[in-house]
Amino acid sequence: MNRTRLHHIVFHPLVGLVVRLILGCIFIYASFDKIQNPASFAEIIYNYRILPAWTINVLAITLPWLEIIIGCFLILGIARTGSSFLLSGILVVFIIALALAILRGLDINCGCFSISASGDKVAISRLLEDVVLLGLSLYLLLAPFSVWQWSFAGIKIPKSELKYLK
Amino acid sequence: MLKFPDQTTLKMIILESAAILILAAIAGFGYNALSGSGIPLVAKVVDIGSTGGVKIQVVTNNIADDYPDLKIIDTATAYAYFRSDTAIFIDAREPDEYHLAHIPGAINVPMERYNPAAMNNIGKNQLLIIYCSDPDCHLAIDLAYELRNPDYTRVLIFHEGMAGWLKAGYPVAEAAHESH
Repeated sequence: MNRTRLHHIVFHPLVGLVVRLILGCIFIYASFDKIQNPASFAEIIYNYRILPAWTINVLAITLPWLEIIIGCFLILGIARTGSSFLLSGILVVFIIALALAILRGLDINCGCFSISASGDKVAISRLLEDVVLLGLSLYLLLAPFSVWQWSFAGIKIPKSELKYLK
Repeated sequence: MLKFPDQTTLKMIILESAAILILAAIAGFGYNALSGSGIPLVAKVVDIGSTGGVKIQVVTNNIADDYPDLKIIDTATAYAYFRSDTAIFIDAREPDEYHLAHIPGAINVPMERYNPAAMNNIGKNQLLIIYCSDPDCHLAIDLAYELRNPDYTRVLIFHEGMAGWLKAGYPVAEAAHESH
């Protein structure tokens, strides 16, 4: 199989759609608990012992909404560039925070998907999950699909791409 | 090899990211202001005590600032009142939660189905300590305001509630009637 054919499989718009749906659903689901329990989420952020105390609440208030908005935009295909760019940035921050927590031996709540202590602890598995998600997010950011995306520049569907949908 | 696709420009990245961040800020701060479980924009770090010479600090979102007309007490103070038997504890939760575990001697006055008759045997001059399940639970505060109508003014809110009591390992009761 030549390079162009591989290119058109890996960057097929349907693959892009599936990745968008996966990432979108994960981040929407991850945001629910944190939106409903901001005080608990603030404590979780504090426990990482990274940020200065005065920044914690602002982060606890805005981060879950960032997750749910980006999740919705990814599913709908709105502003793919900005969404995947921000998501990649968020995931890099998560990975660094998790790595620091693991290295310092902190036995704390991850805050990844829920605010309850059971089952959502800081662990290497969480970090690896985020690395995979970062990979998917970078894929969306860098992949050259031109079908089925809206950006603020409008919908573009070049005819040359349509033949690969058959 | 890795490069942005042709239609992506730096301007697109910046504008779209900025728009999303602004939306998230509006949604986040708006929801925080309007929902019942909002937190202050700046948390307070307080010293909650020391064990073996090490100070423990925790971020608290100080409920007392939101309700300046209510007196909030912490777990240690609640226990002191419990030991000295100088206050009546009122459990604002649902009956099944109360029956599962409550502070010994506490009277169950469920806020979600408030019935003034539950307070019949309690004099207006009694010191009351109202609690519910945890700091996120609003029932104790709601009940405190409700009880002002029949003029109960000596009211303290044990804000950490059953969660704080259990965490401190203080005695609990399970049956509906027990001796104190």
